[in-house]
Formats: sequence, C-alpha cells, structure tokens
Amino acid sequence: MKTVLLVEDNEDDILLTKLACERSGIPHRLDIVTDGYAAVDYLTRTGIYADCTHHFLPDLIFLDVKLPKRSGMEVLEWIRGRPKLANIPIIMLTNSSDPADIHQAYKLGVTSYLLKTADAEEFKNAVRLILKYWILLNMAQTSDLQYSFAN
Amino acid sequence: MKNTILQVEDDPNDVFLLQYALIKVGVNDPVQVAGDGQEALDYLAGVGKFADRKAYPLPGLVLLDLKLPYVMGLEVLKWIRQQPGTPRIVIILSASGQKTDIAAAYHLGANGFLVKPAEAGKFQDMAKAIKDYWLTQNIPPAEVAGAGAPGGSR
Repeated sequence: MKTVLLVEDNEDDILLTKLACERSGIPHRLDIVTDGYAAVDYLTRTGIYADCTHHFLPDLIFLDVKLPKRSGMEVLEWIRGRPKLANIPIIMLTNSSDPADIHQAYKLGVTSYLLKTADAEEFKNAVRLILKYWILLNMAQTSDLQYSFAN
Repeated sequence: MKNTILQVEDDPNDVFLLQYALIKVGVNDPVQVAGDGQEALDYLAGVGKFADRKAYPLPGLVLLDLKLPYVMGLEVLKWIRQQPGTPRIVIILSASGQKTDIAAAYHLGANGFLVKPAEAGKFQDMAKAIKDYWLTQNIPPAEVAGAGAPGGSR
C-alpha cells in the first residue's frame, strides 16, 4: 500500500486532513509528523523512528510551509539535497498564497503547491482528487508501477 | 486566467487525441504544439518565429513526450530546469512507464509522470487527470516580470 507522509503542526489541520484521507475511498497509509525535525527523523529512520517497523519511504509527502523547529522550505531543501529522497513527490499543502512562498517552493523543487481551503466539504473533495491523482494515476519512482486510467 | 499549454509531441495521432480529449473534458486553455525537442527549446527560448510572445506565449504547463526527434524529452526537461526565472510545470507523458525513465524524469525535476493510454478512448481520462489536478488544484508559480523568458527574448 502506498504511504503518504503528512508534515503538519496544526492539530485542526491534522484532524481535517486525516478525516479527508480516510473518507477518500482511496487505499493508502497516512503517517503524520508534527515538526520539521521529526520529518527528517522519519525520513532517515533516526530518533524515535529508529525502531520503526515500516521501512518504506513515503510515496508522497504533504508538507506545510510554517512548521516549528525547521520550516517547510528548509525541509524541502534538505530532502531535495539527498539523492535517496530527491525523487519523492512533495506537495506543499499550505495556507500561504504569498507569491514569494510559491516561487521559492518551486525553485527548491516542490512537485506541486496546493492551498488549503477553509471549507471542510471543499477540502474533503480536494483531498480525494489529490490522492486519486498521486496514488492512482501519476507514476512515481518509489511506488509499485501500478497504473491506471482504467477506472 | 488563460494559461497556455505547450504540448511537445512528435506523433500527430497523439497530438490530435490529446487536444481532442482536452476539449472534451472542458479545458479551454490554448494549446501550442512543438513537434520535436528542438522546436520545444526554440519555443521556450523565444527563438525565430517564437520570439512573438503574443502569438506564442510562455506556457504555464508543458506536456512533454520522452521519445522525440533531435532533442530527447529528458534533455528538454533538463534545459528547462537550468533556466532562471519562473519555473514551469512539466508533466511527462510517456508511452511506457519504464522505471528508469520515471527515475530520470523526477531526478531532472519533472512535476509529474503519466503514461499515455494504449486505447484512444482513454485519452479523456488522462486529460481529465491533467485538468482536475494540474489545472484546477495546483497553484502554479506566478510569472515574475522580466524573469519569465528563458534564453531571453525580452
């Protein structure tokens, strides 16, 4: 099963994303870390993740911009600088529509930039579309090469 | 806002099928076509007739085939990522989903990788995926004044 890593510190946003993912009807595993350092630990299997039994890299990362300890941009830059992790699609899922943030994210190698919506129903639909695209349609290097447009 | 799509594809059949599919799923953005890799580079750099940005606007989205005459798709992608200015969204549309191609494409900075369906009828599903995700959900980088023309025609 494909794994999505959510890097998010806001409890409400975590809950909303978790529920939207569960209700998407698209099978996946959702792992959650709540700050930039924890994201690095998770991706390198160090710290509290050293004994983690789940050894696969995530197939997709949802990354918030504003995070404690290490910002989303720093985490993005760190990931893209590591050859083993560099090919994982990273989706910035954020409240920031600041063009400077958007530009910087793309320059640092973000795969896609998405704005969170305050409307819960709209957010749920958006998450379903996002998961459908990234889990069922788009080919990713880390995944099994399951396809397709058949549905 | 109308967002030009640049389709880089040498197979006229696939050009037709995708354009037809995009229209059928309701994409109204203008689609420009580059028939080989060199033409794609000329278009993006604004060389020759492509210097006229009114007629050939810089695309917000590039749909890039991998196997192209003259300059291969991955070379085009590499060139795009080396340019200063506004980053372009580049989606690879490939006939095959070979792992090495996928890895190379992401390594060079592709935003997405879709496998072209073998059946003509499925092109609309691919077009819908492009519309629903890349043209609806995704926030593209804004054009930065004076920095948008790689290779510089301004």
